[in-house]
Amino acid sequence: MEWLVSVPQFLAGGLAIGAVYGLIGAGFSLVYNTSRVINFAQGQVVVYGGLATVSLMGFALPAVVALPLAVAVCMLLGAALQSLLSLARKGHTELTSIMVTIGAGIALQGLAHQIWGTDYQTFQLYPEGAVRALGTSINYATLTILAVTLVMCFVLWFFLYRTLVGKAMRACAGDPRVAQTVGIRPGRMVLGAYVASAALGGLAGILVTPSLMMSAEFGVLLGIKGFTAAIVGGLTNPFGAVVGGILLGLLEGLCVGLISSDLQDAYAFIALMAVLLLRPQGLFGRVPPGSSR
Amino acid sequence: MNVGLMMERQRVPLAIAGALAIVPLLTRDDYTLGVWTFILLNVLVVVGLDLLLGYAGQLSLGHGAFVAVGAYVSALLTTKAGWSGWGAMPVGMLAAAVLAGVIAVPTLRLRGYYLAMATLGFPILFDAVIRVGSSWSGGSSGVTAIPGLMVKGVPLRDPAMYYWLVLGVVTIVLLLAWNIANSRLGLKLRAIHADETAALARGIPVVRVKVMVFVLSAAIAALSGSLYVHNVQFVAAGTFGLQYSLMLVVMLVAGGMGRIWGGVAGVVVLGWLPELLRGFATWQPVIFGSLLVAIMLFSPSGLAGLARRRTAFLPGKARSGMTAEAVPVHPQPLAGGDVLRVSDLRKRFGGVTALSGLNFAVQAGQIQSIIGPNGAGKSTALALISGALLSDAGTISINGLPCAELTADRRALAGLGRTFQHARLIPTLTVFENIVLGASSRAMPRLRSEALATAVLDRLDLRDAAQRFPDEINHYQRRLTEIGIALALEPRVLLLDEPGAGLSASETDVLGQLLRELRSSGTAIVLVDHIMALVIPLSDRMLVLDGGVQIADARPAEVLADARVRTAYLGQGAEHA
Repeated sequence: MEWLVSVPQFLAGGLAIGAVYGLIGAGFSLVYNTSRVINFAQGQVVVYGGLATVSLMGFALPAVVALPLAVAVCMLLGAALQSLLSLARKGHTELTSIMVTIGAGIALQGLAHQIWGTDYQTFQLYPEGAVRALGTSINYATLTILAVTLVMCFVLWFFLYRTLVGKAMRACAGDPRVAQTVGIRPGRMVLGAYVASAALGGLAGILVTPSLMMSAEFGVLLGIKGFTAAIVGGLTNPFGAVVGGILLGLLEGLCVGLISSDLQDAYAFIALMAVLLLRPQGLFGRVPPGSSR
Repeated sequence: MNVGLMMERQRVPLAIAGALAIVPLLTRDDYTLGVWTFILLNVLVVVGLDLLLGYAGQLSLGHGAFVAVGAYVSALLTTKAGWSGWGAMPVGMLAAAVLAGVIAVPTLRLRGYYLAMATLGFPILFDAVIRVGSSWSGGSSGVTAIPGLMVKGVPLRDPAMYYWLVLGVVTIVLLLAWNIANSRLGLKLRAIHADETAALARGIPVVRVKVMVFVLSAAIAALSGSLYVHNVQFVAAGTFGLQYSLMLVVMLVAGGMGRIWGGVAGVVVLGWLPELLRGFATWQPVIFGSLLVAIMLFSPSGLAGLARRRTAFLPGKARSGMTAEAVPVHPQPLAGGDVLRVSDLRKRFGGVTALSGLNFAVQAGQIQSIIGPNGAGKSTALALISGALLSDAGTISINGLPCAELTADRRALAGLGRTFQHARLIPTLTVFENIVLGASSRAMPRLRSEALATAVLDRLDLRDAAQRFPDEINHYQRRLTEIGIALALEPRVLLLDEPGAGLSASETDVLGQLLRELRSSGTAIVLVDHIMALVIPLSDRMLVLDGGVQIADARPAEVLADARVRTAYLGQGAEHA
């Protein structure tokens, strides 16, 4: 039963990355809600968030300047992606939009290779050290990531439920046509969702890079894991995605500890399949309309 | 069968194969032939992918992994277990088919793009397994010295001969894909692509068809992988990575999704791009990604969009025993009994009761109408009866078969035809193909379903519109086409959701006459409409819903005299009006 003692430490190991998956997943959820599109370029935005920070810090900019700048770069990417999508012909389908995000994702990944090369990169952000509790040590990096995630959840909640723009965005998610009749412009709301989603993705990239490094290669994988987080939480609920992400992180930590770290990237895939099979609406989502009927 | 006619029908796949056969006649250069062999192998994968993505509208971003499955099964069985390549090939296809099935069942049950994400993840899983199992798989150093395919005891090594072999396989797969695309199955795939709800209402088992086409395309991909390793003699982790999978999608999109020759054209045109861009190899993802974006935005039908699709379905003469008047032709006329019986049907949406206790029964040759103010629950009732929604409680039987738990396609096959409030024709199919689709989920030979569709066409006087697409005909014709699709199912009971909406007075008269004729041929009809001039003279019984509650079900004269009905329609004090 010796392994049982290590379980809390394994779980603690998955906590930080789980919160990161959650932030990425919340971005998937925002875009899906307003436009029914799964943004396959979301993972690349995460990469740009992390690597842009590496570069900006490399110019000896202080973190308080570099981090917001990197998030701004990501928001610009999100806005550019949505503007690209709005060029599509009238009467295009969701499949068209999704294929455009896939193409943009491939191009962004290739571009990241050109800009930053293929090496793993990182920067210093978190203080050294750890807190010990219940026989488990949780380092400051994990605590910082969790705290930032919590703050972001509050910001997102405030935005969606307490500001006019956020309420308009939710109205648009419910029914774009009805929203239009009260003067909301669905196109603007979709743009807003892409920008907010990219901000969350970029922030996730910034948070993960100092503890686990970043490379252009990671985009696809981070995208899949963020998507899995969103599915676990229920694709329509951004806060569910954060919970889903943390659960996914804990599961990964546990499996890496107890089974093998070689298969680390396979666990999320298996979790995704299991959730789709057993509870496709996720923990907090609405039942997907018309599924299998 | 007449050989000339057969060749005529298959001219597109045969012409493609013929064009590809020129290559070894023009060059004896081994390197060039090798590149062209690789192009042919990609043609195989892309043609399978086209059935999945172009026809059925289901996106796979990891088809390269199925190529890899075929490659590894062939590589390992021949090098480690001493199998012959010919024996390993079907095993690889089977393995890919099984894996595809495992991925398909959780993802394709759902609507949306779950398959795309799952297929993006599958290659990562596969790659991890190969790397972890490097003791048997060779990991990233790969499997080497894979034996060639034996022909008459000698391994096939000559590049030109190998090209001919692969071309033979490509021809077979092209013929297969072409005949699927131009069959009733092809119509079903297009219908699923355009509108799953409408497809289910036509009796198409949507999930089963989606899984089947995914499994088929995965098996074809594995065949390509197997042919690859026996030629190149080497495979390693990452040979068919994400980049390869995405390139397949880009090639298909560039050539044109949903057209067999489009995919081939895309591979032939873009297959050379990596060769031409060798100096800029690192820029390839940027170029391919941007290309995908540009094509999807500005020319989503790709190269194939240059030519209009030609249909393989043409209305002929109505055949023996299938005159227009005889449609629908019930296999055995029902004597009495309820064709549709609904008891105590209930539905709530969150806290809102949409329907609380619906009860009625319709016999053959009867028209039961359902009326009520907007929001009374009429559309909910139709959705519950047709299976587009599941009821919370209550029973539904069609022809005595309990149906409350069945999916919409099963109810359609049990004898229930329906139309939608807003006509849901498949926009990518002609009017005639739409009607053939209505007949295609029932077990009958193709000629019979075409004859049936022709008879429906004549009955509805739609022959002039037969070869047009839904956006090229007027509203009245679209309404009639929807009824025609339902008639092609030869339904026992027909649910019509506001068929008269937006029709002129004379068109409404023609519709009324049609419904009378259908009734006298023994069809039971459930009619929902607001146009009382249509409903009252036609109805044998009228059911009135108000706020989800059934307040009357009787003959029209009695219903119209009912004080509660008058209140529901005209408000308080209406009795005195």
